Amino acid sequence: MCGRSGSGKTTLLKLLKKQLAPYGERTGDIFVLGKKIEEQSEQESVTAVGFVMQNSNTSIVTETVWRELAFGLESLGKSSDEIRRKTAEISVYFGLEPIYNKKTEYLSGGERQIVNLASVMLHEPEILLLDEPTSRLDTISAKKLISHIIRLNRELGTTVIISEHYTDDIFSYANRVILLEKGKLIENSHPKHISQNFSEIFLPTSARIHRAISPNANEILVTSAEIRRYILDNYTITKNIMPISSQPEQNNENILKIRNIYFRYSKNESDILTNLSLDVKKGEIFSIIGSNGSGKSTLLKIILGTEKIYSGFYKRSKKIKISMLPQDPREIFFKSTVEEDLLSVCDNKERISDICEFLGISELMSRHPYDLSGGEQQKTALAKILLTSPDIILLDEPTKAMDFESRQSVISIIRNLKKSGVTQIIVTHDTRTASECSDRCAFLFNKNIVSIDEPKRFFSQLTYFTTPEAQIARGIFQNAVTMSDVVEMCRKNNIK
Amino acid sequence: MIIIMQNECAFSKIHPLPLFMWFVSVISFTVLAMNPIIVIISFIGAVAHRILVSKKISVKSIIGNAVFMMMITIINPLFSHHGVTELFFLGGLPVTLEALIFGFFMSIVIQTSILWCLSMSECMTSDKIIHLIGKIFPKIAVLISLILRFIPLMKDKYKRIIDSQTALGEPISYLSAFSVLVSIFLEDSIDTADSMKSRGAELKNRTNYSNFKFSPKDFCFLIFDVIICAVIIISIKKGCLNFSFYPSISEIPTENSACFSYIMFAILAFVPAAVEVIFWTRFVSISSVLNIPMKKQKH
Amino acid sequence: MKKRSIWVIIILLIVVVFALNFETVGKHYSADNGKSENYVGYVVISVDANQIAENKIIVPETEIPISDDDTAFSVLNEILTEQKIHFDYAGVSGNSVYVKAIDNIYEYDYGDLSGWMYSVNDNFPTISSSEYILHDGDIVKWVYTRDLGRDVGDNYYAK
Repeated sequence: MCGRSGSGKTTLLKLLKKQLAPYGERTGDIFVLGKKIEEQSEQESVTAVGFVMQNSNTSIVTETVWRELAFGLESLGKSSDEIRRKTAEISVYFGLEPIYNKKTEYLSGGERQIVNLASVMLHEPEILLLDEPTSRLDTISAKKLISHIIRLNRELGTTVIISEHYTDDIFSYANRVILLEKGKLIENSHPKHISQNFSEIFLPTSARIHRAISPNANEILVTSAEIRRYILDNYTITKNIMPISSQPEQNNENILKIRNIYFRYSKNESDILTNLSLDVKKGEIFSIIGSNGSGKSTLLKIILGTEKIYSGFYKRSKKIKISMLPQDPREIFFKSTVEEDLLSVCDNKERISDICEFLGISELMSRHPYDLSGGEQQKTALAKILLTSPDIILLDEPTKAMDFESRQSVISIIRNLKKSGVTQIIVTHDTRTASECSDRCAFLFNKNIVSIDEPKRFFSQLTYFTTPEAQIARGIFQNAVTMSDVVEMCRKNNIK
Repeated sequence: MIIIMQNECAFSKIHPLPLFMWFVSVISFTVLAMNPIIVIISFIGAVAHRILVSKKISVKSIIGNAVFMMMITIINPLFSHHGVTELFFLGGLPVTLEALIFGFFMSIVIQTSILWCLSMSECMTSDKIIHLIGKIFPKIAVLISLILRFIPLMKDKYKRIIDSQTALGEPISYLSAFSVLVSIFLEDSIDTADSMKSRGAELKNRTNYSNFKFSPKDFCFLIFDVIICAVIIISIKKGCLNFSFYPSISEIPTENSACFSYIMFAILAFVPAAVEVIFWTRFVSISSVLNIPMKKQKH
Repeated sequence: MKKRSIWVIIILLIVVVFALNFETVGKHYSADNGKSENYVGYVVISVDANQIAENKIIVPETEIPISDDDTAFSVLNEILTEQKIHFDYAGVSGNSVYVKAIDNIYEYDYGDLSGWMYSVNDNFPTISSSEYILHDGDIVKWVYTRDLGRDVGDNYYAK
């Protein structure tokens, strides 16, 4: 199921499960497994349909993994023996054995979501609903989760309805694709037979590239292999190197110098970062890529100053002001309206309205910060930060859980901010964002920085942990890492 | 990834019910018996268990504990002027030897209770507590589980809020940060409630699942505990262990009945330490013979 | 360093306060209590705990001279100090004083309704003993009750 944020996907999914149905008026009927939803018994409504939510952290209810798995079965009044048997077998099925006894507070995002999935599947529902389950996960965990979901569908025959913004991993496995817009169903077909009306932002990367280079084609290419085959079959490749634009800010002086730092949270734990060195130039946009738990957020906290290193050299001038946009923008607000919150950091009303216009949030002044959508909250938090005139802004996963248009909006804001001279350090696992807006990228792995380079070179040198576009262009076009790169390169070459 | 090493307590290997009752018995008698022999036995047992489980003695903690005990010893005579042996006068009221000795006695009682509580908190892990409560009130077990889940989450979030706000320039007051925490938490709890409802939290007839099964060994511990408690309670009721500090210190009871109770209590107090010793010596001998490296459990 | 020096100051203060109030046993029980010679009369004071045991007299009827500011409490204090009997009270002489124990017999030792009371001329005053100023010829009796006064003649709480 695809659709913009606010198109009604979550509402539709929640209506399919009696316990989650939002309050309001509904006309028409919903039939689940042949029965009207109102006629389901309490137990049926729990077990017939399983629901996995977007936020894995708030979905978890208990303090250990095994208790979380047992939760659903306890509700059904099952005996301890039966629960023991069932949680054991599902742990083996999903590969949860190593973390069976782990406390839920120590799980990674990907592990949490798999635990949620397993916990829901213990009811053996015929229908599994998933509301953007991978949007808060890094790419590798997302792929793992999707592969589990596909296994469930193929091995158990579970009907799966999954809503997602980025369909690369799942499009090819779908039997049907639905598109919602402003609460209306405007597409309902097999993935290979999608009409031209289907907005390309929901298509997998291969299909989007295909549409861009041959707009009139009827078929949909859903895998990277298919689009690579298409390009190689239809184009004679003579020009294959993408030019890299010059980067004047690389000549600026360093605004931050980090040398050989070591960090750990407490004496008894292991190091999070070892012997890490980094320079950040004034005015540049610097991205740090890495998997979940690699220490990216910790590095940001060290740069910000809220955590202290125990060895090494981190110099920052006292005059340089550093601010951070946290992963959860709600942490920054503490008043009841946006206006009051912004006034608490800056008295100058003109400046406030200027910045709000720049970010596009002028109409939100009288709203409560928590009533805003994710993207709006992000921008409002950014406004508050900009009002304090920082020299460096740290962005912790700025495009997390965002749909395509919101992400583009964030990227353009980042680019515009650069023009005003602010240095930005972005930490993300979203390779696309990093490739589109950074001046330099760094790869954080095994407590250290493994490589730093200009994004086009950076991502085209990587094969596995890189943008989908770079994977498609591997061996065909050099330095082509974004969609516009690939399309541009295709257009430069002649069609056979 | 954070790896937490927890002190392993060999005594915790037995079923939660006798485990809990054992600790409750020891602590109750320590506090209620008012008998110096009982309290000293309890103290030695508690210290032995603590040292064996944490496997290190830090000078800092010993000094800290000694200072704490000394403070209580000294404070009691300043407030209680009961007793026949007057040492000196302070502000017109007598500071008596009996009050001093009683202060010392109470400091041992308090310190021993703290040590036993520390041991208990290491042996009685959260899942054991939930097991005990859950078998009778499954819904309360869910509640405890929720609390255990959300407290670390909230602590972490609180720190993040303070960090985020200080990064803006103005350090935020603790109360404001707390109100932000509550707002965020309330919002998120809607999702949590949904997650619980969708998995049947509102259904009737909930059961409670836990990994603990009762074995003959556990039954032995249970019976032992009950018998020893009965003996000591009868002893106390009969007055065999009576001891008073005021107005003058009485004789320490040493008749046969009293001694028998002391021995029974000693079993109670020393078994946790003994279990620890047996477990590790058996383990050490096997592993050293077979040259297997010992692994500590990572949670 | 700051924390250390604050602790040192606190300890010094405690020691000083301690030293100022310190008295050895001998000094406390010595007869020197700085009484002036302007006696205005005599009172008879006695202390007994007859409700505990038959004839348990702690201080037999004794005549003692008073000055014009002596209270039921101050004469008790005087006689007990003179006779070297254990005495425990709460409060500062002058403000409301509460007598907790005489000769190690404490309030509540014999039930929730037990404690020390005083009567002057067979009436049980309702004010604190340190506020009751004595006159020449008063008979002060300190008694231990086990029934809120009802067993020693005070009908304040009689049903």
